[in-house]
Amino acid sequence: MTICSLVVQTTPEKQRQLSGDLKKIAGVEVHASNDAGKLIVSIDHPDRKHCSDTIMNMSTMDGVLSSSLVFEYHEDNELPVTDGGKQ
Amino acid sequence: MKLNRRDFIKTQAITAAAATAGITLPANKAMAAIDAEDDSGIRWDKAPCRFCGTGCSVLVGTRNGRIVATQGDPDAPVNKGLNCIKGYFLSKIPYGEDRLTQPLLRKKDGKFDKDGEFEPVSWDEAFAVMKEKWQAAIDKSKQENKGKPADNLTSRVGMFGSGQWTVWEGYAASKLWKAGFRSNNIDPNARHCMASAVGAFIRGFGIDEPAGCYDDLEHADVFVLWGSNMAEMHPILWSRLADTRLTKDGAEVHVLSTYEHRSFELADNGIIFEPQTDLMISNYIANYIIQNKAYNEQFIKDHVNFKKTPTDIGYGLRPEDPREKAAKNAGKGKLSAITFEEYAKSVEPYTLEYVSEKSGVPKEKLEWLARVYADPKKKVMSLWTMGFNQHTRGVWVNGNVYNIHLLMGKIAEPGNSPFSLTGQPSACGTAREVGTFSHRLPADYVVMKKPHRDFAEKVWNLPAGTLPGKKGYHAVLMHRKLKDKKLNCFWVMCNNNMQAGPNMNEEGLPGWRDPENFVVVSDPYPTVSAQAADLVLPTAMWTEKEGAYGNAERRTQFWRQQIKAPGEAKSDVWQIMEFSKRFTADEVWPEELLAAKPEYRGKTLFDILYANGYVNQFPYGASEAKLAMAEEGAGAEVTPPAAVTGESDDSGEEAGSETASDAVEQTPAASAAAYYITDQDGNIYDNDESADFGFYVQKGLFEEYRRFQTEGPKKGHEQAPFDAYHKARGLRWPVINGKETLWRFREGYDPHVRDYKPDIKKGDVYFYGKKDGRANIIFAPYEPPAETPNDEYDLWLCSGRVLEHWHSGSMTRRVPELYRAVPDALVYMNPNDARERKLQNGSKVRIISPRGEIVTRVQTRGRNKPPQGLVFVPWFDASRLVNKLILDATDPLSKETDFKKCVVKIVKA
Repeated sequence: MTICSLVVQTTPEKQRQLSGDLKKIAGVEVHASNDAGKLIVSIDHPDRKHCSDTIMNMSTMDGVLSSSLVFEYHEDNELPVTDGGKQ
Repeated sequence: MKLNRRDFIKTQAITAAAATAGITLPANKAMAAIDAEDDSGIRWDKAPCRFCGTGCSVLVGTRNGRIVATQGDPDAPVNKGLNCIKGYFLSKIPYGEDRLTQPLLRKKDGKFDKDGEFEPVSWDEAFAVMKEKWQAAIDKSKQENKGKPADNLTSRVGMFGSGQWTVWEGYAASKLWKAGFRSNNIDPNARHCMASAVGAFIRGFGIDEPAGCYDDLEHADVFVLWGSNMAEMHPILWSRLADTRLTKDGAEVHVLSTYEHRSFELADNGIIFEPQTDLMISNYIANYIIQNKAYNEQFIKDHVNFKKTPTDIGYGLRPEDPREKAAKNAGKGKLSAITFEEYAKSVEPYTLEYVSEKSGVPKEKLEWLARVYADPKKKVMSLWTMGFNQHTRGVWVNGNVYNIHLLMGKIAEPGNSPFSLTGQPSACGTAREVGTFSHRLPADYVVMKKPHRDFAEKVWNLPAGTLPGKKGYHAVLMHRKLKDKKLNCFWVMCNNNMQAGPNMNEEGLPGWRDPENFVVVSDPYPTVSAQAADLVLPTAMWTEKEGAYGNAERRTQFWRQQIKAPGEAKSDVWQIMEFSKRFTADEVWPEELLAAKPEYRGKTLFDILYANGYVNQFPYGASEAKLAMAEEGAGAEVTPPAAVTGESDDSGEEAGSETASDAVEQTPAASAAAYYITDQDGNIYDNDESADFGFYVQKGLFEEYRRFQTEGPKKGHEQAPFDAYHKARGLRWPVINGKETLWRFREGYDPHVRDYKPDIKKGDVYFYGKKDGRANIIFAPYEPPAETPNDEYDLWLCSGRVLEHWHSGSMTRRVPELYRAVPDALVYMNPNDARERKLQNGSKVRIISPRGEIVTRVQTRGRNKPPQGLVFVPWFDASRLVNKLILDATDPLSKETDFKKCVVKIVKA
């Protein structure tokens, strides 16, 4: 179980488009926003890799000026990591 | 409504994000948060982030001895609840598969052998081998130093430390080296990132670190980035800057760089300039201000001296290099006084036409930039990082921006702020403030000045003349001296210099692998450096120990130990102090010092430096007798807050060591709190070093370090007492009467100003780092870089970082999914340059410099868009050591390497 929340900053002009793009990603929800282009986003997905990829990709999505993490929780952190990490 | 654990955590995540952004959630979600009940069993405590120099505070969630969650700290003024995406990996960096858990020594046939394979050994064996090697080198040094005065001493033992060391680790290391081993050969990796910034602060203001603080990000109208890609390297500060740009009328962002990067997306005025011409652009702006008589005459009259710096100063290469031989004033930096008129004359050649032509920047862009600096109504914050510091004229170019701000009086007040950002979490707090450089002592004192050494000897209770007065070897010189066999024992701690340093093939590796030298690397992971060492020591990281960092805005932040280090891994401070037990004063000091302090005969360096009655004064760990005393109210050093009641319970037990939880069971919690580390909820935290040494190690070291700030002739670096930092979200020094200082040098903000100038006018400025209270405007011209592209090597190479990986990747590349996101370092290249070489996006290429080559793939469509003639390669990738291509040319004044400008050619592989 991996749950994250983020504040994503876009420009007011690109806000609607970006919000739509974000909602298309599995496990992503947009909960609220304001006029200055800030979006409250959560990721809730069983696959830790999917969450990580989503966070990584988010900062390079069209219209994203900055994406900041607020909260992250990993149930599987209590188990040893088994999928590599070697160079 | 009762939520399950998952719903609870998710609700908590969403409400935290909304609160941080100041956004109201729809009613149903807000209600859910109120109804939720915390059954997650997570203990939360604050810690600064392990990565960059921003100093974000993070809430670390621990359950069953493991970190399971993190959250941006909503109470932290730096990040206001946000973290950048590297924060996502904080909770995972201790848990990489290949953590080192025991010392490894190269051995053959059961004995140390330079050509042997790494074998696990005990700490005892590791230290025994180290001691033998160190003693041989020290004996040689003692022989060589016979009859020499203090300011002529040399040493064959050295240490390469870190801007990622905690404050007390740096302090303990500096003390062992300078006072114990009498060696100034200790330097931090901060030499590679901040030395030029330090040089300019000292020359300009006589005291290190910025006048302003991060609050300027909200107060400024205009932001100018000089050689900094904040969008990727300082994302949280960037989000604050972006907030101001998007919400304040008339706010502007100017970005200067040698290639286009992510920060250009927010730039109103994006400027790409020819490498090294930042020296011209900065002088053009000064010229513009003078030509248009826009300067602040009163400010200049009252607060500024004009100086010039020697020119033609070389490139910090080996003295036999032809470029050094040709330089008239190699390494010189002594300033001479000039008048305002002479300064004006000096910048006069930097006209719009001339600078536009040389820099390749369109005139209107240059003029726009000059205009905002020259407008007295616009508040300007200048920000810079490695583009300025890693520069063969780094001290000069840092100074040129101070010149602009000083001409306009735009300094030391909210929003007007020349601000040097840092790249490491404690480059300021440890490397600079503690002074772990080869020429420094704690709190801006230096080894070359006898009164400073005398003062340090007094604080440290050393025989007169113990401290050596000759500058030690700086980072780059250490490798040259290893190669030349003048430095024989080398301990690398908390950094990965074999990957980070320049020109490793020619100047690094030969010395490391020379059989006459012995190299030790302490690290949590088997880095490139560890693999090149003779002995590898497993190290506890981040929240596996109690720590303190100091960030770029003078903010000191503490954290408690949250988890245990794996296996036999030990913190740096433990390693340093434990090793000091192996030496007696008789073994390392000459007879005359022993004769001056006969009570030190037979004592170990541990006894003299750490168990000295000061560092070991704060008790730790409860014997029954101590607890009984505490119950009677006697001898309790720490009075716990009233919140410690009988209820402080199982969460403390979870975190505590066995002895700690025993203590809780046996005695009232208040008594236990007097001898253990607790928070206001009564949770008890481990402190493995203090448990081992039998006193509160971190507190003792910090309180002794503070004596340098309060008992010496230099004022301005005061920090609060130790305990204050465990309560606060960091405090910005100078901390006077418990109050931090946001803007220095200005009456009304900085209490020191009135101490130095009692009759100062309200709101006026006094630069008390300088004897006459005046800052220096220093003329420094354009001079060419150490090498420029030519017929054979026809491209500029610039190396740097990317958002996802921090520095050499030794931590971030351990996180599997982060590794996958950006697995390899690519070469970012202009499509036209690629086409000319018959290359395409994704082509495999060889990047060749006069010093070596690497193989990688071409990226022409990525986040970095270089102009024709320049390529960018990140240096996080251990399989593509780009920095071995870099010339070890340094700023001759700061000794910091230029990683941004060397020459390469690129051919199809």
